[in-house]
Amino acid sequence: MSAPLLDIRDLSVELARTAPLKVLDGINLQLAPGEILGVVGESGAGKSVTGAAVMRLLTRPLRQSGGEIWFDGTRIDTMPEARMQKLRGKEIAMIFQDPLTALNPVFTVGQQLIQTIRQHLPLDHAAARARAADLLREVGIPSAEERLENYPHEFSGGMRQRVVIALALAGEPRLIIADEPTTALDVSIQAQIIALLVELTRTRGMGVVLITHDMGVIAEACDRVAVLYAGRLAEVGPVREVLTAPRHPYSRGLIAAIPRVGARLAMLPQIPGTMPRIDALPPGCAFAPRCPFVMEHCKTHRPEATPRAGGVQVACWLEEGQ
Amino acid sequence: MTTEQPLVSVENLSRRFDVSPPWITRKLARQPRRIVRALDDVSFAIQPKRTLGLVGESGCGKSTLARCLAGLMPPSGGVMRYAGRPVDLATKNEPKVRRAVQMVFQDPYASLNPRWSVEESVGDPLLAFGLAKSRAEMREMVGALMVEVGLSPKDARKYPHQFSGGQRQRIAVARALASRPEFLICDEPTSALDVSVQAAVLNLMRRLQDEYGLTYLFISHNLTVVDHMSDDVGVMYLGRLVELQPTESLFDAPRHPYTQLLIQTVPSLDTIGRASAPLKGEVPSPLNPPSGCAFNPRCPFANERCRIERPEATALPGGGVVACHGVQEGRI
Ligand SMILES: Nc1ncnc2c1ncn2[C@@H]1O[C@H](COP(=O)(O)OP(=O)(O)OP(=O)(O)O)[C@@H](O)[C@H]1O
Ligand SMILES: Nc1ncnc2c1ncn2[C@@H]1O[C@H](COP(=O)(O)OP(=O)(O)OP(=O)(O)O)[C@@H](O)[C@H]1O
Ligand code: SF4
Ligand SMILES: [Mg+2]
Ligand SMILES: [Mg+2]
Repeated sequence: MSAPLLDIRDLSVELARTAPLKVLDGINLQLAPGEILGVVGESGAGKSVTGAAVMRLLTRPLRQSGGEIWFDGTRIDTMPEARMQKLRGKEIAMIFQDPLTALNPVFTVGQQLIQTIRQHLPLDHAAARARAADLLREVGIPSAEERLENYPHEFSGGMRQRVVIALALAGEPRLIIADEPTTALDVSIQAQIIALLVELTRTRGMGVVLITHDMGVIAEACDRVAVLYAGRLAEVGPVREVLTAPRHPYSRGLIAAIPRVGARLAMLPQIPGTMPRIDALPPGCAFAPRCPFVMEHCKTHRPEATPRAGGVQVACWLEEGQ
Repeated sequence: MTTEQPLVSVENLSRRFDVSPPWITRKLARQPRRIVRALDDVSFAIQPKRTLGLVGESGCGKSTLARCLAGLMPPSGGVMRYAGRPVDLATKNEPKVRRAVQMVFQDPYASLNPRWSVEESVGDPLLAFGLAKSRAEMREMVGALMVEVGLSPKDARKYPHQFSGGQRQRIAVARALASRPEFLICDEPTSALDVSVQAAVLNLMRRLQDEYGLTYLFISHNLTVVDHMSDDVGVMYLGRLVELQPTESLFDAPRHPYTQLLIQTVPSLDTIGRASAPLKGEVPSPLNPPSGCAFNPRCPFANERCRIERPEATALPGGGVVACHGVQEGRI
């Protein structure tokens, strides 16, 4: 792998309480330029928090409590906020899970795009406006010129999300953290957005961290995929390895739970139980209470993510033959 | 499809939005009024205890349809019938039907008031419809609902922002279930959920359907989920219903060219590293829909007639309907 564009080293995030709780615990992830890294995992596993930590957008009661975050050879987690502000939106952009939080309801889409473009690029109003229309076209919004005049509420959910993507692309970033960018979109628009992200990564050497629940999207778009569970890395590796031969019992359960066209099952295979709350994590492997392969050792000893064959890292005692 | 009386049916339902710029801008720039036909003459029926899935491109009017059915906005034209009787849920006149028809939203933020605790949000319909006699009983019922959707009764005292996106959607499902609906409109209910929680919520919805005899309108952009959940599937394009068939026939033998393309682009685990070729052509603007068949600029089978004449929904021999000249002429 070439020098990483993004290097997350042993990242921990805490929920400040009387007794601090670990929302993220020792996450290691690397992303090369031109690469798309998928991040999957149970709801509440810490995917969005990971993205927010990289953007330095954690808000109280959440705070980074350990580890380092490097962007293109520069450590950014300790960088003064004034410098970080220059990176944010320009070099590193985020596409949020909820399009409404990223759009201001009282300004037209055009006003918001033009403002963001001019903040990052040396363009006059007319040029920024032309660029804004181009961006809307690029993300597949018809009648782009006219749509600049509309307010966010006048768009459908999917179109709003495409506007958010256009906003993220406005500063021509080198790293995009996309948090569920296509969840609200139908397949044909989703395919367009994914194709757009793939193309931008290949042509511009942009890196993308793609947080999504859609394993189909992961399969099609990502080079590597990381599986998070309860704030910890369960498995990370090349997409083909992880999807066709998942090693961690949680990854196996996750992949089995995906509905497949034509299967016509009455019920979907379900991982029994729910992910433990972060204030009630078991002492050993966080997945132990739900794991069909659990051993005594798992209940008391926490497995670390360890490199295995096929370029995969797995945090599971089964791999150790314990 | 059975001949039983449908629980819900709509006939020629339409909804327009005026998205014109302000009057003065319009006059200065000599622009005409701009009307979006978000729903255009949509008709279908859902039998009791069955699930109609609904798919279609972003902006094609799925949420608008859901909102009209739930009485959250009045349609501009057409009728909705509930158990055979025409109803107008946008007025306050139908308390019984309003309780029986509930909705789970695409955006979990939309269905939960951020200033209300989960207990208040989920308990509100219980008190409003008199299903809980006292606050204590309400609290108990909320606790049971939380367990039903895979959360803990303890979570009921928290506020929406204290949950992850997926946890919030489960709370929204709990709130919709609280009033013991007969007809549940689900607008992308699991698109914010990870696959294992999705499996749990879909299994839960199946179980509740069996237990309480629920009828669903299930909207999702995820075709595999729609395939899994639905008895029949409707496909919308630019405000119109272009095809409706029993699920198996729709997936095995899609008739409308748009449906065929949709089914080809379903992302799946079998397509590793091979982003499916996105649908060609610009997405048509709902502000300025193409004449004739709205799909004609992107359709590989379009001919002269398709560019001029709008195809009407016609019955298919095996049940279902399709609106396509090519199919009607036997070309497709
Ligand atoms: N502002 C906050 N205050 C308190 N806890 C929070 C806050 N934001 C997140 N959390 C907690 O941190 C954990 C991780 O949340 P996060 O939003 O990263 O989950 P996620 O993996 O993105 O889930 P989803 O798939 O549902 O979006 C959860 O347990 C959540 O409850
Ligand atoms: N309140 C509104 N004012 C103006 N136009 C609207 C309004 N609500 C929806 N529209 C328009 O109506 C059309 C249909 O929107 P709708 O939200 O029903 O689409 P959808 O099929 O649910 O899309 P998605 O899959 O993206 O959620 C879109 O063109 C949208 O811009
Ligand atoms: S470490 Fe043990 S409990 Fe954890 S996933 Fe592996 S087998 Fe299951
Ligand atoms: Mg999230
Ligand atoms: Mg919608």
